[in-house]
Amino acid sequence: MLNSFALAPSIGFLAATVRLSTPLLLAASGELVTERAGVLNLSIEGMMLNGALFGFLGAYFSGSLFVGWLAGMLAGALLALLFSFFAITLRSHQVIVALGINLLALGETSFLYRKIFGLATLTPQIKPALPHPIPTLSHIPLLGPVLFDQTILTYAAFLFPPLVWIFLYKTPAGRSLRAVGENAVAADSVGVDVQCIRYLATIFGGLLAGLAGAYLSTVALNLFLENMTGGAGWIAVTIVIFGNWSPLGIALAALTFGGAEALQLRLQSSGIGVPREFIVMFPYLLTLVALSGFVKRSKSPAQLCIPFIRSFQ
Amino acid sequence: MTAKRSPPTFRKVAPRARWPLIEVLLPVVAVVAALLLGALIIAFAGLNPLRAYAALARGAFGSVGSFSETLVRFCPLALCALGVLVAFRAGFFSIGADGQFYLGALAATFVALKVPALPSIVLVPLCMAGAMAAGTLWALVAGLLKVRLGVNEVVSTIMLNAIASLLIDFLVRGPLRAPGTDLQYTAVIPKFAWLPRILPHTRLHAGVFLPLIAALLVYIFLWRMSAGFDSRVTGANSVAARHAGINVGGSVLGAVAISGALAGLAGAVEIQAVFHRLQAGIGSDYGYTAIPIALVGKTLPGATLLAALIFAALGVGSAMMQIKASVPSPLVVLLQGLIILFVVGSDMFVPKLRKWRQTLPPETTSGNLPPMDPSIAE
Repeated sequence: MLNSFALAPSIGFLAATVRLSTPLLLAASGELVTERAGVLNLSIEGMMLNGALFGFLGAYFSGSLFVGWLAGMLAGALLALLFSFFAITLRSHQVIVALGINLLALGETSFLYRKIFGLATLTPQIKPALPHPIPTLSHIPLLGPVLFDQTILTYAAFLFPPLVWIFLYKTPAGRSLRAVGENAVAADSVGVDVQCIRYLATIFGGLLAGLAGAYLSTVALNLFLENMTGGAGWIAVTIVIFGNWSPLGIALAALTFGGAEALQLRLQSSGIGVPREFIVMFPYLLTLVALSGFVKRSKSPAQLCIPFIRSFQ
Repeated sequence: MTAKRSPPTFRKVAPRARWPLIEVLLPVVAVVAALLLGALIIAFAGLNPLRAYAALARGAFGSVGSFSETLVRFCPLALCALGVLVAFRAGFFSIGADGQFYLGALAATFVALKVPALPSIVLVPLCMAGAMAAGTLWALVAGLLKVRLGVNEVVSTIMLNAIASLLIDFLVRGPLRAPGTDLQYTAVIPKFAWLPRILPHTRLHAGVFLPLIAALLVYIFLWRMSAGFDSRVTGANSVAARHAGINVGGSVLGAVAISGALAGLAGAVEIQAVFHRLQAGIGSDYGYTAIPIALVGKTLPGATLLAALIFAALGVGSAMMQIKASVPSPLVVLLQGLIILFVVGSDMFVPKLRKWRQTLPPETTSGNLPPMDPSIAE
């Protein structure tokens, strides 16, 4: 009995880590695919926010979480389409477009929310999402409650890195996508449609960012708050960098950031004197060190953020 | 080295390419188009766009008090945007103004609180110098990572921004917290460190002249000094710059240092003139908004000041718009996003205009913003 008593807080901590990593991992999986195609989409934050609002609206008005998630994904993808038009078709600077879209999304979501619900004192809420324990697996000690007693979106989030890995490295389409990110001119010369692949990769990123946002407003909380992402989109971008642009890497990176967040919350409630900001800061410092190549060569896509111009028609 | 060229003949052979008027007007047209789309959105929401914009303008410029507020917001935005401009011109596309701003605010507060009482005439500039040094150092981290190790500056500045804001959160909650409170801010800095207010009953302060001076200095640096010329050449084409014997790494780092100093100064102004104490979340959006402002201003100092004024006015006027025309104030944030997208999108007309007038080679993209250039690294 003593044993399980000692384990209880750590199970809670690990389960919280997995839970808090979920939206980060969803968004980062999408951003990984986008960046491997050579598009640096820094508007994940805006797309998540849009997904959070429309995910909430969808669930609120239909009464179904799935409808909400679908609405959130579509909302993210719609902004991704807008981003793609400016950044890929018009070849405007990707960072500037992204910052514009972040402002657009922040304004638009708050505007719509106030327009629909007014500044009511009672925040509208939906029914909270319940976890779906997996029948036999959830009874495994330690692993069960941590991994197999979560919501469906958490299972989905942790399925994405392996799926993305299979796609990137084991399918012809994935090979083309990586080629576009490393050397767009060479890819173009062998008949790969660079612009089309970049569009699809960005929209995929938008779909997942929207889903990640919907997770925040329908699962993590059951209400929408203005600017509720509060920088989660930037963390997702950081996770792709920290994960060194590899699917396994981003899964570990997402758990690191989720773990730091969970530890921070835990320390805050326990009142232990370690400054919580340093715990949250730690993964960023680690990323910065990793970036400098002291640990391992950075594998950033060679043509990240460089628009494609076909020189010979 | 190459033979000396005689300037008069050079001018005759290649007349200096001037921007045709229509190209300068392009961003203005884009801003107007964005405002028109904004009006449509307001109309679709069932509200009166004319009343909304009138209230917005009145809220930003309608009285001495409101115009002062616009100028108070203009000051840090313009300083950050001028810094961003210098870095962009050197081909250094950092989004680190946010972190540099925070470090500047921190350094100004620290100097003001820790240095023994000095007369204003010494302490005010000392705080600013500290802030500029801190901003420069923070910017140089990203600069050195880029120049020495080839780390993409967009990527590294995301980390540096997060670290800076967490550092502030920690300091105002812990070591620098005002004694005897549970709230998360530092003690008020001594009055000797305050920037004087220049208009009674408003928050308008002497720091409002700093962006004007900075714009002039930025212009002199970039267009009247050889170091600035080197930076601009590096930004336009770093390979060509290297072949021309320009110290590419050095000229990038120089521009990065200036940009960090300006963002740091903006942080100092917010502390010394507006808040008088450091607290979590001050100026939370200045660093990021400054980046598109520099672009809306076509990376020209004068136009950037104007763009900063427009963005400041939008921010300040939004409250009045909500009160008088019951248009939710977030609409203004949406409007800022639209302006950025429209200005950035209008650049696609630049090559067409140039081709039409047969002035400059038509293949230039994204206006006069240098492309992402990985070859700056040594």
